[in-house]
Amino acid sequence: MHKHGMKVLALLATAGLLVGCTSRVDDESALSAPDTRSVVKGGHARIAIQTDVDFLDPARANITASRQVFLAICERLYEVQTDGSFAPQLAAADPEVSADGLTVTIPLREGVVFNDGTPFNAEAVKANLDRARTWDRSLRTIAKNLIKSVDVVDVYTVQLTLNHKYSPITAELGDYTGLMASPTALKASGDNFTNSPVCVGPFEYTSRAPGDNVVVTKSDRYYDKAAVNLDTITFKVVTDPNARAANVESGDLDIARVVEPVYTRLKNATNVRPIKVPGEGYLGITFNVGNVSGVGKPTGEADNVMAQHPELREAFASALDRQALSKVTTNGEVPAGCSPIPESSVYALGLDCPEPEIDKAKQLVADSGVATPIRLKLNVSNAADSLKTAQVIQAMVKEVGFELEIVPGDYIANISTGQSGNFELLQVGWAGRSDPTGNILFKTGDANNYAGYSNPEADALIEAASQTLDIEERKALYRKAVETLSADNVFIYLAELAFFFAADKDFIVPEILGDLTMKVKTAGFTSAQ
Amino acid sequence: MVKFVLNRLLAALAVLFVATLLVFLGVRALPGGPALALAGDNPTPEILAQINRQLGLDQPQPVQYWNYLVQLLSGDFGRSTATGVPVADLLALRVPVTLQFAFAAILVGTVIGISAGIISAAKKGTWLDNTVSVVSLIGLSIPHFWLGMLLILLFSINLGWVPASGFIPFTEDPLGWLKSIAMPAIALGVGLAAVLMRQSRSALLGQLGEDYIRTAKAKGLRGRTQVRHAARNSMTTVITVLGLQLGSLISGAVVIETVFVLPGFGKLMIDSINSRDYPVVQAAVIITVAAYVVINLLVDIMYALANPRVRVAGAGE
Repeated sequence: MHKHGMKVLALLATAGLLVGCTSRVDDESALSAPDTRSVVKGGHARIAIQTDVDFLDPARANITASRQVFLAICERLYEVQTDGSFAPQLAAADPEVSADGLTVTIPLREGVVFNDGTPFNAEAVKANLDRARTWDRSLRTIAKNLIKSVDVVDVYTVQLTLNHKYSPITAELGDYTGLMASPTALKASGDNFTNSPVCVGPFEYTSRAPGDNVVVTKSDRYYDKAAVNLDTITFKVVTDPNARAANVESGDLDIARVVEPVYTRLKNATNVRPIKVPGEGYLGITFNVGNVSGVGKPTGEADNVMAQHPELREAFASALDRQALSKVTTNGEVPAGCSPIPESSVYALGLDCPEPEIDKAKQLVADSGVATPIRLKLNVSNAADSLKTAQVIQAMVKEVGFELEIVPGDYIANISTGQSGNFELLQVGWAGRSDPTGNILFKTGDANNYAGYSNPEADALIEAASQTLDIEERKALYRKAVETLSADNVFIYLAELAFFFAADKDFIVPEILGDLTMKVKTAGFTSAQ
Repeated sequence: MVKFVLNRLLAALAVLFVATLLVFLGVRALPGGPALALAGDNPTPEILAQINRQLGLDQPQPVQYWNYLVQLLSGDFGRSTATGVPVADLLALRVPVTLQFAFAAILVGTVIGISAGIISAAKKGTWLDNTVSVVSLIGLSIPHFWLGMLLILLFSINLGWVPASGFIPFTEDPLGWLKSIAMPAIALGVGLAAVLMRQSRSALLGQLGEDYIRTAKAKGLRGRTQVRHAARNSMTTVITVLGLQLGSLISGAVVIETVFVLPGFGKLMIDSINSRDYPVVQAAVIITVAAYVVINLLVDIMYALANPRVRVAGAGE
């Protein structure tokens, strides 16, 4: 599943693709909080990934599993930090952005070679960025639309010319676009780079058994190889969450993502360490108000009662108790939320979540003149905890006159439903991104604006925010945009995200990010295997 | 006999052809497609169109179907849209895994099921018969996946005797191989054993009540020899049931491979459906249909060999 592609929620579990960006590991286990044990050199780690990787090619990869493997074998120009900021990785310093915002100059780290011995320099960066923005198979849409040209200033300096101002440029270069592949390998393998990827990384690609595993081995050419502990890592594809949990408990895996009930159960385990990682996305409900012929096409008034009666959307929102939802569905482990940007982010909007107002909701329903029960269809992911969330919502809104029919579908089906506009209500989870631009999805024409929402005022605010560098200014703009959306009750934010892991008690991963990736460079075992 | 087999082969080809059309249409009837799975976080109409063009999915469906048939007849299943790996390579990796543990499951199922059925019939009405019947009822009632999880809990987590997941090739480590398929084979084979036990018991009891057994008994045939004579004749029913159950093993394998994380054919099918990987889904379904057809053909032939009236009737159709 996709890192950012987890649009339709597999709430916090199986689909496993709700991903955001960085977040700090919040290890609540008495066994390991915080874990400062030293790590020995050597060892073979077995890390579960929830799906097979798609393409181990920076220009084509899109799913979380690929991102997890890339973090071991392929470094980026900028690396996301646990607080959501970005630090230079293969770049030597933060980018210098010109006054007009259209020229970005990036100094590069010196003395680095790819794992095939090819020198890393400005020519290599240009080859990668040119490939991302011009190759017809490239899926790097932002790079394609944003980067006008890439020029080599000197051996270790590269300059990008942009088509328009874009404040999250560092975030973009800290994502797939910033992954640097060996130009020699790109030239040699062409379209088949995915079969034998070569990058700069603490580990190098060794083998892949499609659908089963990817094996990587410690690199001898890595510039910081002294910091690397493990000899090899096997990324093992384990799709079923129960199987993942059982395999960690039996010692057949060293770390795996699990679901919340398992996390809670493992708090008392002696051989396994439960870990909670805050995400940077959100859970919510989208009303189809204007998606009449598909995303990207002209909007209109959708043919459903909620589109035609804004007061009913307000009534629906007023009937929801976010705190109760969190407690019932996740034992309170996943925090309630009412914003697309989580409170842990430096861009947190500080919005107060409204308390449920049942009487007001009932009055609004009565005032609408629509006969009750008001029958609606709610499309949801078929993941167990997603269905559980839907059932709790179903019970909450029934009290004020709504009768929800839950329509489960798999991940792709729900994206398709959202895109086509063939729905009334859609329970949506968004993986989230480190930069808030990636979480604000209600701009007119946005590919993820399933609601068909179109508000020129909100559009102007979002556009202005994406071109503003100052954090406080951007926060203010996003806050206004979200308040505009909330006033229209087109999208109801319900919760933030959190991810749960189980790890062998002797296996330490210093950082797990909110996009489910692990910084395996310094991971290791507390004792020799 | 040759005519009988030829008739069955022609019917099998017709079934396979219809299957290609049904799976082609069926997979495209699923909401969403490969482009949505590949487009990531920004599935704009332009990106979706670009991916569809690259995959040839922008062409009219009759053209796509024709291309698919031509490709299939030339022995090429195409490439996975999700990973770019040739489908034939995926099948070559996955099918042997499933075959190995499925045959182990059949072994478990037939040995336990038929033996228990014969014992139960021979000891009809005794405590042994009643015990076997109850055990078989439990075996029938337990879902594969639940039994699998129980086995993992007991033998992997608590006792640590066998790995909870994964597959080790026989050529790498024979003992490891045995350990890796033991639990999946038991989890899958128990249901089969229960069915075969009940069928073989019922068939054998039917045979033991036949006139020829009564006559043999009147001539002084002893109990164990009676059962041996009757058991052979009851096997036609058991073979038929076994053939039908082999088909259900494929569906059972889908679940078992997910629980035990076996990189087999069933898991490949599920994963490819989830990612709308049309070439893999199509190939997997065709292989499954072909397996059903071959199994049924073999059952027909075995049935005909066991009962000459069948091949005479079949050849005359």
